[in-house]
Amino acid sequence: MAEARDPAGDGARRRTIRTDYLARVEGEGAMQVEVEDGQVTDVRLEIFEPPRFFEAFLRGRAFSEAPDITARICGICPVAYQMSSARAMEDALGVEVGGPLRDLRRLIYCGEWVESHALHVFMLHAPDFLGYEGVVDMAADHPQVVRDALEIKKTGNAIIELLGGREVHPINVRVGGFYKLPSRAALARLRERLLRARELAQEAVRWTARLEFPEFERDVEMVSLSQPGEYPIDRGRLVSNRGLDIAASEFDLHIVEEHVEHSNALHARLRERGAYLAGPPARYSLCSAELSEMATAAAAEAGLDGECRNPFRSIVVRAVEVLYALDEAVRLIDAYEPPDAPAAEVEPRAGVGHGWTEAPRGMLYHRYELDEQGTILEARIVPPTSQNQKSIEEDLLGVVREAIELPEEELQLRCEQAIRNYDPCISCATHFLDVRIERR
Amino acid sequence: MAAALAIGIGSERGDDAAGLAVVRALAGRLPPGAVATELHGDPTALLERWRGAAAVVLVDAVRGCGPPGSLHRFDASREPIPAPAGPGTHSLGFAAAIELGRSLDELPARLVAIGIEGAEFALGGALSAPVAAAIEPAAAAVLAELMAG
Repeated sequence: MAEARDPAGDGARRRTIRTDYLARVEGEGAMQVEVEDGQVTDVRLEIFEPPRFFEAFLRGRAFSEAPDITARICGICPVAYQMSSARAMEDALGVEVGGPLRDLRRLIYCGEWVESHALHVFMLHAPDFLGYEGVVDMAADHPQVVRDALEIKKTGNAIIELLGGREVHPINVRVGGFYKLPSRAALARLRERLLRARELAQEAVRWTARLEFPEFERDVEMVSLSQPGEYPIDRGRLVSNRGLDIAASEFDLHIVEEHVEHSNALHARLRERGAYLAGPPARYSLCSAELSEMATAAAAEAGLDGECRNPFRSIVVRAVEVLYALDEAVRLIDAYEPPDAPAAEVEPRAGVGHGWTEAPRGMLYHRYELDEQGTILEARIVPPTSQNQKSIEEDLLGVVREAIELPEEELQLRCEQAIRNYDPCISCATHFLDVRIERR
Repeated sequence: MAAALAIGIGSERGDDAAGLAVVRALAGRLPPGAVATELHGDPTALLERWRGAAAVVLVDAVRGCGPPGSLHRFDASREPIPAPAGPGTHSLGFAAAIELGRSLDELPARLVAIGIEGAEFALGGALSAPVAAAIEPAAAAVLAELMAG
């Protein structure tokens, strides 16, 4: 919706553009851009989905319940919640999960990256670049691309089903490891599917690289977990391109969450420097040297040069991460030696624990305080979309500034696309989008 | 692959399990060549599940179609089933998965959906009384569709 008006009666030209619902994101929200005399004066990502009180639900529950309770926060990234909560509990309880159990955790996480990214890249984001309303329309003109995407996604689901007991809201992850280990025969069958999906993913990277990307770059602090010798998924220190290098226990020293009036999700910022970017472009920019040979070659062929500063090109990075996750899954299966037990011994004790892992959308932080019986006294969860809100707003500001002369409808679509660059999970953050651009 | 397939869709969330209860009630009563199966997860899995089947009957809980326990028939091979209007979601729902199948020319020749109006959808909850009473009539309706196919 566009309207020119002069409410202040001062002759300034003000315009309003409004999209009531932005599709292809998870959750309920709105966006408003105000333009006055051709200058963007305000950008707000409004999240009005009501708070879900998960942190309060957790208080009084046993430490062992956290992975399954928090997995319910999101149907797309339940494994991320299970992993971050398990890691935080293990930190509080002094348990180290290493060796094959840790490899199996990384394997199930690869499954989540594959299914979540494949859904976003092909079903939710690609239609933006090709001018379709959604994947149903896109499928009529690009049937093989969609079929291959479904096959890739299904392979991700198969990993989660094997390791997690079922593909949606898996139930086999516990503090200390797993309830039940996969059989070698089942892993061997999965490996065959992974090889086929990996071939499809190589072509998928090429396909995304052929899309047309708006020219847009933003100088932003990028943060990602980092662990020498591996691409960050399930552990590491948090590092940035501006010198941040912290352990999970230092989260509060460097990152602050603030309530802003227009959002039911807390805005996170670095105490020292403000907005930061988490997620695939940050991971890639900070850790591309740790990708596998196959993923590195595909990224180079796709024109990524070890860094991604154009958020619209995040679709290519996600495709590279799909390929990496499939390749990594094959590597993990090839190296697998069954552990003696499906989980490490865990004894309750009082303490505080911090855990973070790389959800498909970026770093997901959990903190728990336990009493001597292992009952949860306090819980805190900081999801990636909450962390990226300020960055989304800053992208919108830049996008509208650079594209202000575009026809109304195109500008509106560009803004929606800029939001979808983040694959935002508003339900996780809180917490759909109704896009409004006001030009005054 | 069965020539005729009944797919119960749902999860153990109160009346959302209605579709599952219906296909479970079909055990031992299916006509020759027909198979009944359950789908709990990703709706796009339908496209693979029904590959090769000539006639498919989906059965699922619905909302907003009538009083709790009422049955509703949709001929999805002829037209899209009515899905809630408004914002899209992060994953594709069953109605969108069917439309994706239509775009990819991968719909079974005959695709019927039987909807059972639900009332309560609490996690771990039992079927509500009106929906529990509708399971047998719904099973009979699915059987009739399978035999007609």
